[in-house]
Amino acid sequence: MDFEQLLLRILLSSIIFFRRVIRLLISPYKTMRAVAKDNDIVQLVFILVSIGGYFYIADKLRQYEYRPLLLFGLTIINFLLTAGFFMLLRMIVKNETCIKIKPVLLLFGYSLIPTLLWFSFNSLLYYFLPPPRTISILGKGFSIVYISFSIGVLLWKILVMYLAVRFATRFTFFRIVYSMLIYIACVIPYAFFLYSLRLFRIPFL
Amino acid sequence: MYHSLFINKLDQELERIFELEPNDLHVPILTYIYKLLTRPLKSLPFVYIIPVSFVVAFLMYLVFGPMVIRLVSLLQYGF
Repeated sequence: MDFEQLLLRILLSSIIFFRRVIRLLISPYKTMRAVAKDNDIVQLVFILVSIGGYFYIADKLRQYEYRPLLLFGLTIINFLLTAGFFMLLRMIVKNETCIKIKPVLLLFGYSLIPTLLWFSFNSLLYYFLPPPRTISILGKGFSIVYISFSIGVLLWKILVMYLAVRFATRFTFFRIVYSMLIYIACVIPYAFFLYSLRLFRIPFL
Repeated sequence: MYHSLFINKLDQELERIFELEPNDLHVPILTYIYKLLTRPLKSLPFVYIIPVSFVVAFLMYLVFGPMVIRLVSLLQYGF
């Protein structure tokens, strides 16, 4: 592959990435179905670069205790563990020995978009409208808008995560619910461990 | 020729739709409710998500009052 082709591929992947991020809002089901058939790992690189960019910019907006590179590294480990967990579950439940890894990574990569957007908005709001909030009319109004925005993104995240698990594992509804419960049971002690190290932002991303 | 192209396209579309096993919750009424709830979420979910979020946030404020404001400060500080 020569340089021009490589550049063209990166350009095409970037267009597909931005289109999919928007389409994830408009029609999440169709988008995740398309992602499940994709093998383009460049899009995953774009997602990871966006996450790295978030940690870098968030660190500039407010000083965190840990370096962005450490947080980014932990996020990658967390992401790989999540994708690996559901792949392992699929292999055990469905007795499959060969699973395409790239679509699974892409599916779980795109499932990080809602939380990434929430974290980015939160950092920007922290910079432009730093807390604490007051009980004035403006403070109350902002709080209601902030909470409704957070609930909206949370519901979107649940929807996208459900679709990621559905397309990655091909499980039906009850199996997805059970697998999510097992996943949460594994994540809680891990989250507490990271919380004890004051790294509590990672599991939520 | 157009007919065979159309059939091919239809085949591909059907294959794409039925690629995943349809969700069956084993109880007909539950399957019906599941399909009823998930159908609108497949396309333009924000038409439903935005009003639901606003209503829930407003109810939270009515029930918990100033605790919601403290929660917002906590979330802003925490993340």
